[in-house]
Amino acid sequence: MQFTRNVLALDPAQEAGRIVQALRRNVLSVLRRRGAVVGISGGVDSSVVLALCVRAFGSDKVVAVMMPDKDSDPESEKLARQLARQFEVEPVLEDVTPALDGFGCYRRRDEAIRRIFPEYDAARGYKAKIVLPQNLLDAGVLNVFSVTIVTPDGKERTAPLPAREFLQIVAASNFKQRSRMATLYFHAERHNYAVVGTANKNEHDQGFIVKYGDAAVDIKPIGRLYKTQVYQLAAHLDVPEAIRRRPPTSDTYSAPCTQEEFFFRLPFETLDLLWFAQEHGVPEAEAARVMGLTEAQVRRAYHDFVSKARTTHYLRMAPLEFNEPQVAVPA
Amino acid sequence: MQIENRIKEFILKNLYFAEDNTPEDDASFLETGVVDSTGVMELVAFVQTEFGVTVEPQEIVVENFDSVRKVARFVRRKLSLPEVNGSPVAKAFAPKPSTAAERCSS
Repeated sequence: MQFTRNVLALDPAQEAGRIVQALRRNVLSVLRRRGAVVGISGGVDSSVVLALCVRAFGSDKVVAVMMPDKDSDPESEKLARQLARQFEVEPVLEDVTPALDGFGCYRRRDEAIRRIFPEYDAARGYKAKIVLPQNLLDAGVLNVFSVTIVTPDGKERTAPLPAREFLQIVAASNFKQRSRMATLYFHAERHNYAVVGTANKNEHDQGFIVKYGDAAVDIKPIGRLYKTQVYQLAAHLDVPEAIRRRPPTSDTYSAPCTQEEFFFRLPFETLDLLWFAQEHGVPEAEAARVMGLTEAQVRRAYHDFVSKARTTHYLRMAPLEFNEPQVAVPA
Repeated sequence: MQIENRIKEFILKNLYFAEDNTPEDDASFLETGVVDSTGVMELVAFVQTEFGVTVEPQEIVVENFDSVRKVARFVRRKLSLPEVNGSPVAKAFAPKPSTAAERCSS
């Protein structure tokens, strides 16, 4: 196989048609549900999935649910509404803030942040995010998260996260994805519809998902598409340009945080091609030549892909079953 | 106890999920998956408390934290200890008093 910069180019009409057929077949015949529920965030992935579902089932058989919380960027809801209008779906608004308050999501998260920055106070306008080091290609920096707080007057302070605080912040924040999952299943069961997932290949295979949160769905129509391929479909499906132009965001933390900062550490145009090369056994030297990088840079990226896939494997695992025969109680 | 052994003991006790293997001194954590990203954070905290050194964010790199040998070399450098080739250097550095007392009694 020859590795080129065009290797991820799709025939978007053909790909969209293939996914629409598969959606119909699987949702109606295999899952035996009558339509689709999609959580829409104003991002490109959920927009593409909504457009595909409308093609597959018709707009009257698709429920689009917006699920902001108090940390969400208001722009997300605005874009989600624009999308729903374009595809003639009546959006449902479910503010998950009260549910998250009930779970103690914000309290538990902020408690961990305050152990690092005692002055952090969300009520006084402080914001926070967690990020990975950004120079993946240029230094062998390990995937160790830092926390950044933004003071009410806009000053940023960053500190490395100890494991205990990191785990608590992530565990608390994951209430968001799990609350959204529960909300989507409410609407799915109410209509006898399937929950259609919006994770792309990058999110799913590299572990930018929450187990039993956004990973808990009935079907994953774009789960094998690289992010740059999702953009190709978005253009074909006529997803609003404002959504296609928006930098992908985690929209989970109160401070603005792109997916590149939070997890992927590379622009998607570079990441996807290097990842494809790594997955298809393209030698480092060849990938370096095509991408205009050094072999050391390619090696660091390859290591990062392997490392992320391995350390997040648990997120993609179904519950393990014990198949050993039961030990009978002696008579 | 030699620095390498104390690092291995920590990894085996806290980070290593396999039941019947001991990580080799030169085996890459990245390559073998012995230590994941959360594990690196725990290893950094261990190095700081156990050996009384400060680890700067820019020092959390492959060159310093990707194998038992690399971590040990990093600790020696921070403590201004000489490089060794497997010989014990346990008494050459001064760990935190609380942990030192426990270690002397064992």
